[in-house]
Amino acid sequence: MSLLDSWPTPAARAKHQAALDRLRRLQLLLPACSKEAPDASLDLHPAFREQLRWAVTTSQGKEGSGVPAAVLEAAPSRADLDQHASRQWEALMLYLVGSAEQPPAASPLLPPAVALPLDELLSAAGLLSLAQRERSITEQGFQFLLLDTYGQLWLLLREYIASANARFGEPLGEVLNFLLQLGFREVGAPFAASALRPSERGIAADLAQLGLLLPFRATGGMWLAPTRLAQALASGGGGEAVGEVSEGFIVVETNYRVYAYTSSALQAAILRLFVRCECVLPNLFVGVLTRESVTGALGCGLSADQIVDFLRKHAHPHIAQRVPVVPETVADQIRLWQADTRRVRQSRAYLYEAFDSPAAFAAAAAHARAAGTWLWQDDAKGRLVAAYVGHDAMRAFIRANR
Amino acid sequence: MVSALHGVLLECDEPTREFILSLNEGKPTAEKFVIYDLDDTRLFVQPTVVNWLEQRLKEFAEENTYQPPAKN
Repeated sequence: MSLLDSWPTPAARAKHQAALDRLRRLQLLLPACSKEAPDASLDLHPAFREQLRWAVTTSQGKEGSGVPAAVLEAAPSRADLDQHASRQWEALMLYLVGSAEQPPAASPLLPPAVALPLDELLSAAGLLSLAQRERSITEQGFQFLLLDTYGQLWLLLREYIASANARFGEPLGEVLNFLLQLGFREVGAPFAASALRPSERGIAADLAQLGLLLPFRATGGMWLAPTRLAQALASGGGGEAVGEVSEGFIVVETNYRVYAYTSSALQAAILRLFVRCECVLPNLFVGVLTRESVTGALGCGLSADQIVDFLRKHAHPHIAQRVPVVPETVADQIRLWQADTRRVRQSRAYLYEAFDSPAAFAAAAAHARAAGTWLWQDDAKGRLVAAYVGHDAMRAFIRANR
Repeated sequence: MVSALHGVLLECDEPTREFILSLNEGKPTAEKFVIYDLDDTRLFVQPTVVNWLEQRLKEFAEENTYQPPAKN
């Protein structure tokens, strides 16, 4: 323990402690059971120790090793990868909101043997409803749009993993294995497509379509380079691990005006969900939050907090230091608009009256309270309102007590 | 003898309650839907009118807000 504590420099002590805590929580670092001082030493998890020793001694799984220099030269640059990742992902989002007719195009270099059934995937995730052959975004779909990329990615991949099982006839473990291996590769470190098994090629083609992989041609055939989206597979962190492309870009003023410095059609489409657009310039979207636009979004299943959260999370760096980022008047008004749509609370109920005695009334009221169906009572008039679901029990109770 | 009535309990603010009561007043006797006016914020109404009522409340709220015309 004391040896471990002597490792970090004083400045890095907090980071060291955090790393140790994380290892402990993953059960990789176990307290060694020695009787004289139970807290004195630590041990690695036996299975992890074996695998670690194996990995170190066999030096497998090191990317870049065995990749010819010519391929590394031909490999796409970081900027190309980022562009591919955001273009494919944005195309998918635009397809989801219905601004684009076509889903993101499959890579011509790596055409999938069986086209990725995006519609089914999105509807299985509950984001798209395909009723009457009409594509329309669902309530969850709207909320999905406001998530960060990392959350979106995993939500979709969960469905993908479930469906990949059926599509490729691969056991679940194989699919997960491939995805996780991909996650541990460095961004842009290419690997040969020819080394993949046929089912893995199928998955790789789908992932290229979603923007997780960028295929390119070089000596020795087809190579694949993971993008930053792929890295998010195993990073496990929050949105910042993905290295959000879009820095903050939204400015909200106290007069409900919204300026969004973006040229992305997707961001504009998301903003249009709850902002009335006034004009669009090549790099600027100007709109106003109105009662109409916000209640429209509320009607689609967004909540006021989600809207305010989105505006705050994507605040332009210039106003990000402002406290609060979204002016209070605006945030409050959005919440008030929401409260306005919920002015009446209704509950199906039964009203009981004309009890034989005040005692019978009190007993019935107590019974309803105990059952959790009590809604309202008036002692003077002897009226009791209880939820519809509890009616049978109430009737039985009143009969029994007569 | 206890009697049980099936209906919907509405809980709302006082202005909304007044509006609902005025809607009820405007109806012919046979179509009155408020069964009991319980207290300042609660009404007990016929279950059949709830959707219609919701629609009317929405329209009422729309009428009461000023929407500046879009600049085009």
